[in-house]
Amino acid sequence: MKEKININQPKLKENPFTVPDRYFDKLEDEINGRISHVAPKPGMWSVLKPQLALASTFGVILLMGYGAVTLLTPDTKKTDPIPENQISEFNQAINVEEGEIEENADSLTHTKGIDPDQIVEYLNADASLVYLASLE
Amino acid sequence: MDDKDILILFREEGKENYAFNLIVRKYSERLYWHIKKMVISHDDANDLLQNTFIKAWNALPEFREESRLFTWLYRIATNEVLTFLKKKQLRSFLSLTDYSRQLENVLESDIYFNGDKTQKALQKAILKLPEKQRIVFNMRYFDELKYEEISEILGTSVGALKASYHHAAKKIEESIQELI
Repeated sequence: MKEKININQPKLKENPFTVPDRYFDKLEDEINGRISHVAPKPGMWSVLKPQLALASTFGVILLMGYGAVTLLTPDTKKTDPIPENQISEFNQAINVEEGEIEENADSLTHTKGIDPDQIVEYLNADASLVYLASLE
Repeated sequence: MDDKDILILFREEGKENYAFNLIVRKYSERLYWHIKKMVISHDDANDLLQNTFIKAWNALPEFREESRLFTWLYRIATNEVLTFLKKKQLRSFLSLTDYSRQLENVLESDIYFNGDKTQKALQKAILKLPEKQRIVFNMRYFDELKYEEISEILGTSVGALKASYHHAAKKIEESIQELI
């Protein structure tokens, strides 16, 4: 029976590989050669920063404009809706007033006691006054 | 130089390249071995390492230090490796077992392998593991990373990593017996 191998023996933990001569010295130059053609990409934040600044400036200008327009324009919309009961009360009131007016109109048309001859005379008297005034 | 100082230097106007070279100098070896043990071929490891650093160069301006620089670099390298292995496996229509065998062949012909019979058996046994288990085993066994660090790199819980390492070690011990 084979002897069991203990994998924790120090010899086994040693690195069994080697590299070509001066590999790590040359590696630095090779990598440098490759990155000299590739500038480090600017970060996402540095790309977005000026654009966000521009967008927020426009945003502020728009807000200021909107604020100015809102402040300088008289507020016509900000009325609370009239409750239904107030509307009906108002309508009733109008109907009452209209009734009164109609009654008054009737009272005018039904005015009696003035003699039509007196009216004609009154008007004629007025006309003569106007005429006399125009002569002067 | 400390990683924090390197990153401060990187953010200074005109010092990006210098700071980045410091990062390459500091981490290229560790990352190379991490990649190499996964793909075995030196050429593939070299390509993937360079891609890792190019990606790091591009993403470094966005790096917010929510994780440590070295775990961040390890994560990029690991993603590169996993994507590469998946592509290779899909392109050659190979099952995991066949693909492991192909990697074993690469290992057999690798001129940069300097180990003895037991070390080769260990490498072959590791190649039989599923990719993610292989990554966990390598990071713990060879790179001696803490479970917390591996967890940060792979986004897996410490408990799951411990279980994964334990299973991997058991499988490897069994495989080595057969391979020697």
